[in-house]
Amino acid sequence: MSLTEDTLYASSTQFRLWSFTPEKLVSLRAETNAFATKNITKAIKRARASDETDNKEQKIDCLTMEEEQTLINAYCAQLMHLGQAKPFSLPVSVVGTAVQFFKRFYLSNSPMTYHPLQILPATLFLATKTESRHMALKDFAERLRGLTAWKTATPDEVIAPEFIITQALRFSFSVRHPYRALSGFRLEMLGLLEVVRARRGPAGFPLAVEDVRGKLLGGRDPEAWGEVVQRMHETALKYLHGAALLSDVYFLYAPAHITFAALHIADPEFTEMFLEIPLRNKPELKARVLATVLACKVVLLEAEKRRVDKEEVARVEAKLALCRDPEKIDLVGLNRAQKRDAAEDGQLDEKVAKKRRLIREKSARDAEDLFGPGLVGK
Amino acid sequence: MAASPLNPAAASPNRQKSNGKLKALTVQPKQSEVRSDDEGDSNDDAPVNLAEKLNNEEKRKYVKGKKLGEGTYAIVYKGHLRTDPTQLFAIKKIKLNAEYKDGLSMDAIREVKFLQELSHPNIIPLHSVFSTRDQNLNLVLEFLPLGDLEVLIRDPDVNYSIADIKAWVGMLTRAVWFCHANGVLHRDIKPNNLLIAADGEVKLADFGLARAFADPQQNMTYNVITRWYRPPELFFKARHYSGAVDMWSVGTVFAELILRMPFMAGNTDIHQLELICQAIGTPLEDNWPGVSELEGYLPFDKDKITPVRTRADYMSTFPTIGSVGVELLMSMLVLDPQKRATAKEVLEHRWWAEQPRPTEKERLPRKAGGEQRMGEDLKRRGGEVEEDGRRGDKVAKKLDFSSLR
Ligand SMILES: Nc1ncnc2c1ncn2[C@@H]1O[C@H](COP(=O)(O)OP(=O)(O)OP(=O)(O)O)[C@@H](O)[C@H]1O
Repeated sequence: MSLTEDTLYASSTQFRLWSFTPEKLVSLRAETNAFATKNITKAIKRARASDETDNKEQKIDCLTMEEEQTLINAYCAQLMHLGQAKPFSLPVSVVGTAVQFFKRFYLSNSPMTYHPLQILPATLFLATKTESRHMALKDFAERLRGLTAWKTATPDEVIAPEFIITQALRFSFSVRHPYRALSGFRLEMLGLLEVVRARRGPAGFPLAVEDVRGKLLGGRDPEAWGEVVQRMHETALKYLHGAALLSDVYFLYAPAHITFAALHIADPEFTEMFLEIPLRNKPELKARVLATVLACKVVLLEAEKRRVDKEEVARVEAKLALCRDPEKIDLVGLNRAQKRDAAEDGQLDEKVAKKRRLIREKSARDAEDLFGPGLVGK
Repeated sequence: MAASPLNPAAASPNRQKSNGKLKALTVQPKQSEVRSDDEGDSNDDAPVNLAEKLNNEEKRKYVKGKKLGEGTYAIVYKGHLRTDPTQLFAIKKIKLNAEYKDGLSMDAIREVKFLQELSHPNIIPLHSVFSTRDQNLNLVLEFLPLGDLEVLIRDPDVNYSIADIKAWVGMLTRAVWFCHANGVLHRDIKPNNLLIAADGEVKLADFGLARAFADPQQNMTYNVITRWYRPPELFFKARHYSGAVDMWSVGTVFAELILRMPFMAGNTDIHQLELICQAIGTPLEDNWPGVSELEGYLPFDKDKITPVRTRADYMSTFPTIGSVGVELLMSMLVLDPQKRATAKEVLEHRWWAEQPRPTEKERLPRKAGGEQRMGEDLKRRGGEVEEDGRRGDKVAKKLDFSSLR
């Protein structure tokens, strides 16, 4: 009775809703861009119709799909930094989740409709909630304001796009990161070291000890093993914490593939030998797995080389300023209007909410008294 | 190894999913769209993006019917497929809490996050999630018309046997095993969160307090699990805990099924701890190494110490399940969470193979009366959990430690 990581992955939303072929990914983004271009052109014309001063003849020049990607990638890098640096100092898994939310959001939305700056803090806030690191919105906004770029951020601005984000995420809040597979690899390798030391494998172990020694170590001293594994782990982690999160690999490959691609970057020979152990008698499967791992590796290496081209980003930003959806600029106002509709529907809920708040405040007070300091002297 | 790319399903994720995927995010505009008659979109509100289009399509698939019941943070309606009224669902509409200013509430996030990932015969299936224009979240769940285990336990007109208990506890344990294998703690296992499907299958529901296993460095809140089902480590404010917390709850549900009343029904947290000491034994360093270092632990008065209960004690309280059954029950109610049985160990226990064999699910006893009784039956009792202000708190009375010294 055991579940493999693979069967678990197959039922995950990451696989069911958020995995695509490269072609499909491109066509989705093209569709989103086309849809936004059409809607925004209409919206801008509507706005111009009611505005005397605007030049009605001026051409409406929308972003291309590539320009959208340039912006999204630049803001992903910013989001990574925002989450990991002070004052948030969140673990990379939480920030990585936020980055994936951000990328998933822009699969079905264009930066022309929702500017990345409007979306970015909300994805980070949502990730703190889904990854059990939540703080009060007020505190979150306060920390954000401590950063020069966000001096004026209000709680309302942070939270306004949350609803459209959750909708774009199709209410799937779980992101499967490749770190677990990497820890699995490390444990497995350290286990193999014992095989070499003991000169014989555990019952059912598929390789002769000499093979493990000869092939995996390639003549290296078994006692250096730990070091090799450690170095591979470090290099792989660097890729998993950087390039993997910023590239499209989460959309294209399973977490285990991403892990092996990162390991392959660290030490190709060792990684392939390692894959050899379970795949020894299955050449076809091995070829397929290896092909996938190598394809993923290419994407990772490309992403690692990619630098944000500041001039290009500035150009696209300037272009974006002229083709934003005029009806979606005031998200706080839009959000308030929707909530107002909801409140009218749910007058009754108000009373319940009030009662609940009173109970909550009382229980919070009582909770402070619970195990009060005088009683438990530690 | 823990994760391998070897499974063909995962090895070539792109091939086999491309069909499903196409459906996932591509929306073919319909020739003549049938407008939903319930709340929501008006004609002049064209969707602004693919996600909204998809959401509208999802919403239109279902028709909301009469109200089935109401919980603290949700109203549950009966629903059916627009295209096939015989396909029933429970539509759980999360109340928009005007007081909660921090966006989507943690309960809703947890419930949706975990139910979306967990697919198992003993966990309530979540078929779909959609929102309405007023930003309410709707969870389309399997319709479970036969109430829950609490209803059966309390209903004097329902008789059930050891074989029935065996079937129910087995289904519960499989659900918990699956959660734990997926790295999820439920943290609110109790009879009224165990709903019963039309075919008798028990389904673990209400993941509003669930969370993923924490990293070793990360603290967790000890303020979870309804009091009667809460393990001792949480009363001692353990900040790091594991699936063992859920296993204690499974043990207390098992005991309650046998006794037909709550095994340890404390009125306050401190009373609950007293009941645990009496019924199970006083937690001490020698039966639970390290317990005295927990933040909330307090030394017990020497002449008030109860030794850990023996098998003979359990046999006299739970004579009907036999000595093998008692052995299993005791393994879940071990004070030290490190020594408590895991879900896997429970499932591998020899009690399951022993006579009588578990009743087939279709033949399990059912509650008397009809659907309309549901909801009324489910008046909450003592020891509710409060966290993030949810779940009405009848708990936090000031504690009186003098009784323990
Ligand atoms: N899947 C379902 N099928 C049929 N009826 C259901 C289903 N889920 C819930 N109900 C009914 O709706 C009522 C409310 O359920 P809900 O889960 O919101 O709250 P609860 O668990 O009863 O209470 P609380 O949220 O306060 O813990 C239940 O008491 C039950 O009568």
